[in-house]
Amino acid sequence: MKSVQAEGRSVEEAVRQALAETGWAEDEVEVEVLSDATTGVLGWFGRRRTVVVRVRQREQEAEGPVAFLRELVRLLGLGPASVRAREMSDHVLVELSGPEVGLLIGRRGAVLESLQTVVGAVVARRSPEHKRVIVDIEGYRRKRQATLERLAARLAERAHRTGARVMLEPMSAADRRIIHLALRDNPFVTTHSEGEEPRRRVVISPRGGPRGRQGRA
Amino acid sequence: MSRPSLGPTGDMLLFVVRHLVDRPDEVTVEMEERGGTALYRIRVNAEDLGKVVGRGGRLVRAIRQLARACAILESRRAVVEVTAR
Repeated sequence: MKSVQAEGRSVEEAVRQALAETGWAEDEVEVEVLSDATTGVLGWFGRRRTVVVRVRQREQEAEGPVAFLRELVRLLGLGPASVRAREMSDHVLVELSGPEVGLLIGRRGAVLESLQTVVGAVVARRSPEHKRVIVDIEGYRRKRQATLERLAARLAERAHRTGARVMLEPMSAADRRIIHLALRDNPFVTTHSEGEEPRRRVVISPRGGPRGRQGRA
Repeated sequence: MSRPSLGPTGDMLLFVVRHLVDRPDEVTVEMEERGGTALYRIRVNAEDLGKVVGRGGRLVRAIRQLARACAILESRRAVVEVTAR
């Protein structure tokens, strides 16, 4: 991490001095006050306050999620990989691809969700104003979404036909969200989730309540 | 820095945790291997502990899962421990 020392009559003045010298922006540095001393005893005219600060530039190389993931993949030795970001309207999609990055998907995308959590935390710490970052690996999320949408349609049809609730397997919050969204406008069924993480699952119910043994139909 | 090698998973943990805290230069990772399991001891400044653990332990759970997946590359299991120095 690069740093410089500077002095002035106040913290603000010392920091301004350091920024002028280095060309760094105020929001990319951390300031540490090394000493703050007032000398002279002959009343106000003889007094002089001297503040010494150390100004450190925060690491730049892995600021964005792309640089962060590139370095992570490099450290893990996961072969040649491409990391690309696409700006979407309400999020940034960062896509990893390469022959060995599939390791970071895990069973049912569990490792990918963890990676997503870590990248989200790093981005939020560096720039709280940043758009939500979604990480995808080898198109996993896209394919998983299509699979879940097909599953949702099939099970909704079953719930409607039989008049009974259909309970899905436990899923991650991201997967459950896909099911809820897929059936949001379905006229025949409603969805909600039941149970506690990590065994929380979606339940699809026919609209108007189950027509079970009571045989309301 | 001439430190004993932590291996890819250890390097990844150091890199990730340094990006989560306010005092990256105070983060250390030690690795101890027993049988087929690597124990990674991560130490951070006490004030940074919450930033690594996350709300309800969500972040540290994610870090652990990531470490377990990466350790497969090194043909071992991983246990991650985070404490304040």
